[in-house]
Amino acid sequence: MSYIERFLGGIAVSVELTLLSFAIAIVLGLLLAIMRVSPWPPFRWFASAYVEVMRMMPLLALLLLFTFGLPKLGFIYSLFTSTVLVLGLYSAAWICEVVRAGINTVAIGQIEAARSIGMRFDQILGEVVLPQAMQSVIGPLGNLFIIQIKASAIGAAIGVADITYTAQKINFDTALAIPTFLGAMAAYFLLTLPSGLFFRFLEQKMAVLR
Amino acid sequence: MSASNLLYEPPGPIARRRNRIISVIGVVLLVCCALAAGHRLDASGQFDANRWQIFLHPGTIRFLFDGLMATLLAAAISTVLAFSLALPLALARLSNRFWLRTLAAAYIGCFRAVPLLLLILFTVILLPSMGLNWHALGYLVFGMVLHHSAMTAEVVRAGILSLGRGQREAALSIGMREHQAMIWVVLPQALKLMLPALISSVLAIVQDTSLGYIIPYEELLRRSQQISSFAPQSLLQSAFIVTVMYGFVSALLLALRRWIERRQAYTSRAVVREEGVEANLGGVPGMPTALGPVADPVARRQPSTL
Repeated sequence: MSYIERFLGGIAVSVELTLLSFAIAIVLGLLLAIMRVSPWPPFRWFASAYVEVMRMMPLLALLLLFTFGLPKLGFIYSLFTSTVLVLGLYSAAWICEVVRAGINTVAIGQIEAARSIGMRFDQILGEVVLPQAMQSVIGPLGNLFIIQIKASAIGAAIGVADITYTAQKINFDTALAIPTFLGAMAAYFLLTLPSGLFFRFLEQKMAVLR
Repeated sequence: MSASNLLYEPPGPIARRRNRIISVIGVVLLVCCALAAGHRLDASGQFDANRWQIFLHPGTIRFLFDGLMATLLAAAISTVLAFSLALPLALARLSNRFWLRTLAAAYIGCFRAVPLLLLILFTVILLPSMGLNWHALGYLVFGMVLHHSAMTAEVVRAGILSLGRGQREAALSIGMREHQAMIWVVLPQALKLMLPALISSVLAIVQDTSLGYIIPYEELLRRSQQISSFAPQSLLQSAFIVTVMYGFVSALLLALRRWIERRQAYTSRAVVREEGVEANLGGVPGMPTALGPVADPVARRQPSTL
């Protein structure tokens, strides 16, 4: 198998890791953000505790806890699955923060208007605030996505065959460290640059709505 | 902050009762989850004394403490080197000279785009092949400094840009040179503004030293793994204790950040600008900086001049 093909395989795994974990993170992060602004204190406490704890833990420590710790309790996942789960759980905290900051950018008049016509919390959030918050969320969200692409390299530490791991293996086979390193770098550029452009395009598209 | 408090009407008697019911359900759910997790842990005997005993042994405590010190040492060296590289990098990135600006942009772009893990892996492979046989700490710090100097340079640049151009222009108009304006007028104010963001950079550096695990450098995470390899029954316990130790260091840094923010909060303009630093980086307070270009509020306000 040629080295290009191996790199392509690594790129595919990195893309899968990023997309799957980001999907988990968006769903969970949105839920957490809603909890954080909800009128029910226990949900608010839970969400802010979750965000704080995730902020304080190194990603690798969480990953090792998942891969080596959970099997002891009878939860056995593949390395790939646990990397996806850990990445998703980890960045959900940041997505929560980004969405919350987005909610805070919505003009207070909008919320007051919604309240004055008698909307409930879920209606205000779902039909007035979140759609408008999306505009200011999409930029930071794109940045989080790029961070996620880079963070997915953490899978290599436990042996998920992503770009970083593939580069390491190719280097063992060929001992051509510099070309391999540059190849891996190019592979990451290949992923980050288009996603940066994509999110900038989205941001511009959303900005028209204003 | 303000908007999220207004997302619902002040509850009346019926709504208050409903909120109370939902809150109770929430608490019950949380307690149930905690109990289920506790039961699972208990069923596999994770609370047994013999699994925790090892951590009462002074040798183990010293072992972990040394690991913490190794983590802090690596973080301290990386922070000092990365920060002292970041300032000239940011200034070069903002320079009027085309080549200097391009070179700095290329360096920053390259080392921010690459995952730190890849950088450290190839530092370990490349440096010895060039005849540099260092201690594991050296490789870790080398990789971290390459990556975090680029990251922090963007923080510094965002800080300088968020100050606005009036300060620099005023300094130039009273006859200061470009470098005098930077040193005596812009930087002192900008550094103060970016202090919270810099603390977040330190936090990121501390957490990233855990990548020393793969070199291997004998830091805290590696040590917990070693404890569990010679006392396999205590794997979860050592992971838990190490996580708490990381959490303690992180909590100290976050508290420092909050303290600084509170101290500077007496001028509201400073707060707005402080938030501007992190908004320029394309994120929310405390978020790691991404690849996206630092937004330039000055350029946005004045599109055609200059």
